[in-house]
Amino acid sequence: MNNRENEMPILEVKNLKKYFKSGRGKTKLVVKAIDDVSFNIYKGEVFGLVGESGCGKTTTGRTIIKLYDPTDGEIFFMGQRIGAGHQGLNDNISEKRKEVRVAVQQLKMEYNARISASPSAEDQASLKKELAEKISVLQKEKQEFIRKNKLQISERKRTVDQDTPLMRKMQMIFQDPIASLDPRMTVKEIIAEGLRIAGVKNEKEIITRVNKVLETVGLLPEHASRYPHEFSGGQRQRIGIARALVVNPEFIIADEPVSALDVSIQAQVINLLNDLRHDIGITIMFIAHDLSVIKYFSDRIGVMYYGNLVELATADELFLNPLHPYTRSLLSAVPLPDPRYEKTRKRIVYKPWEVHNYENNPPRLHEIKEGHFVQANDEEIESYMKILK
Amino acid sequence: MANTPEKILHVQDLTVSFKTTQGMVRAVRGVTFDVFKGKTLAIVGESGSGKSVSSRAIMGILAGNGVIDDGQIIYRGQDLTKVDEEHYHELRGNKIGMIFQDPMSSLNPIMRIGKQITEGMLLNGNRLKERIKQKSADSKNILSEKLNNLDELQRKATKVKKSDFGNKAAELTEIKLDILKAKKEIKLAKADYKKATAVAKKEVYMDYRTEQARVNDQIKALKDTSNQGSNNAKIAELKEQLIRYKKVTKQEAYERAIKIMKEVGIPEPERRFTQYPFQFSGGMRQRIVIAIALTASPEILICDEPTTALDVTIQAQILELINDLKKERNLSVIFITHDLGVVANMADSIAVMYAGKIVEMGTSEEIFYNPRHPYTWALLTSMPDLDSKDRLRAIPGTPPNMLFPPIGDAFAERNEYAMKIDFERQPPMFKISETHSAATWLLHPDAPKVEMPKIIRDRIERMLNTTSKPEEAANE
Repeated sequence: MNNRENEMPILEVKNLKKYFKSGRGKTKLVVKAIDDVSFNIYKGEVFGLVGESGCGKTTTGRTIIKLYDPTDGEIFFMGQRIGAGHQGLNDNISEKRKEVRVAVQQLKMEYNARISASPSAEDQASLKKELAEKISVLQKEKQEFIRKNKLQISERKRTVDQDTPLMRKMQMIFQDPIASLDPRMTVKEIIAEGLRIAGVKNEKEIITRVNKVLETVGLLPEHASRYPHEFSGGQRQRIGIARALVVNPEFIIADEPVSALDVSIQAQVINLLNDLRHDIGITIMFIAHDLSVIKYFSDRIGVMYYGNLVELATADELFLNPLHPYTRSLLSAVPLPDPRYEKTRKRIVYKPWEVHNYENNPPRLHEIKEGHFVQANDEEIESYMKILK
Repeated sequence: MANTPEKILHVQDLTVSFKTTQGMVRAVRGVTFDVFKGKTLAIVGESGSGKSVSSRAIMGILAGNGVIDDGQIIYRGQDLTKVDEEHYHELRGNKIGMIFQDPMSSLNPIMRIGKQITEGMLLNGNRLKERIKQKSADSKNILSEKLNNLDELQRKATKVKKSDFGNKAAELTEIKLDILKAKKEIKLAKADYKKATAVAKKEVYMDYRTEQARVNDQIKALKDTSNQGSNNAKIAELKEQLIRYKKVTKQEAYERAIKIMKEVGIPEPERRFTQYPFQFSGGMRQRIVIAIALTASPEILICDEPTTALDVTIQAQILELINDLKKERNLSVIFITHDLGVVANMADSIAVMYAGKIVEMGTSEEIFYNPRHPYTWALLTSMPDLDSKDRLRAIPGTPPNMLFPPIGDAFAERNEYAMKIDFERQPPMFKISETHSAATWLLHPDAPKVEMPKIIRDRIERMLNTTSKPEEAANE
């Protein structure tokens, strides 16, 4: 995976932020569901995203496929920008305005004092002139800054216009196979809906393509005329996968596709996704909270904690050398079917307020080893380096 | 600590069906297991295997269309299948507690947490009634014993009626005589019980009145003395004491609730007491549910997939909590789950269920290190563990439709090791060791020797190797 440096990623996420706001005035609440997350996904790989519930992994998936609009940051898909937020630029502008306002006030105070102190009227006039000049310089600088930022904002807004044929290359599989299928539509209608929206009108073609995709996911063509309730959980999830596959996507976001399924059915669905990836060469972003499944299925894994990506590495590397304390605590919580090991297993509890001291040295995502990123500040990086050696 | 723990619950041949418009759904088809004091029994199986239904039958909360066709649930000498709804109240919650899967839907969203925890204590808080019950317990036990006797006789009678051989008529008449005798005895015992209750009632109320008089006198004495200010507090305390003699007061319930909330690990219980469920996270909600179950200090705790809706770290916390409570309170736990990984840490013994039957039963080491039933193998192989790389061996097909339970082994259809006999006759439980048994024809002496799949063998070997070096295992 080392030669990935030069390769163009199929999906690139840069400083993505998504905030949810609720209430106003005193009760205003901003939830930072994703707070500055960056990663790349390369062609043909499975990128796993783990974390506890509420850490923002599902929000990340949904923002990428544009079910949500990003607050800030950019998303590139196959080299083209598909989503961007401009909260940061807006903030820049308002900050600049504030800065200039304060500076002008200070200048005014300073000069007013000097003016009232100076005896001659001439001096006063020249001082006033000087003040006016200085202020105008500041204002100009401000306007220039705002203009630049506004230009960027409008540019971001412009490129974010929907590029439908491109977006069709990205599809999503949802968690709950019961809730995500319309109970009043037959399987054929469910699967063909995407095709019809894509502009396929030839009924014959639709039927052949639906039948083909049903076969791919291990269902029979005669299932097409049935309704979702006639299927078992695993089969329903297959329908969900077929619906995503029918428009020939390059990239699939699978949001906990097996969490709602029974153990024996889970294996069927995981095997199916594995086959698809080897046969069709699809790229998958796999969101899950089950570590054993994600380890088995993914090439690279990102660990999320409260809107931040705390660690990112290849699956083997992550499980062999977990560095971030949260990753360690997550790994120590995995139960295994091994009673003797379980009796000795000690769970590490992650207490961010005890482990980290980020007051004057804020953390950043640092590549500590080739392909192994971890969020840490300078001191922690040193200690992690020691562990790795 | 005795070597052989006391058996508290014994389930024998439990059979449960549900009446539906399509016919009878045979959810549980003859399940036998024991629960011992201070031990955990894990019931593992997929959805629809009947694991939840069995536990609900024990709690007496089967859905309205559910019927217990056959079998016994013996709790402390009492057959729970024969207990009527009115008397079930004394057991349900008080002796057998239950935790449900989804903590959001088992809590009332518009009721404060504190009220939900104390509700049961306050409703069952009549101490005088409790005392009456205690005093008349002896005669009640005699009565229930007699009733059980009668039951046994009646069952014997039906058995004799059904059997073909032997001197049927003579046996029947003998049993009938016994039944008549038993019925007469029951009549007497009932009268005794009634009398005993009446006596107990009188005694308890007399005690209460004397207590009342004593406290009132004290209050009067306090009131008569001149310094009113300091006495008011004392008077209030005395009054509270008197009420507490009669019933559980709100103050008392509050104190107890705070204590239990601390015990289940809820920080700042005083503040949390007045909050609503939506203000709690998933793990905290599950702790509340556990706290509610614990208020009545039950002997048996049934946990119906308590961690399925939670993620890994929270799951580990809740499992640890249940384990700690079990040790502290010497609880017996019935732990229901579909995830074999979860129970390795919890269970003393494990029952694997499939299509309404227990297919394998043993201690947790026996099940994990020496599984014998193909379904257990399949369950173990279908989940990836942290080291697996090969293709997963999914179980093909789906569980059978229990409207039409299969004639032979229910797992035969999905079983690659199935033999001809599996489709014709149900396998009995073959004993492997004193505690370990499995229902598969593969264990029959005439069956071909079949090894367990290589994946499991490798995994078990690996597990046994790593655990001998615990430090290495921790690093992995």
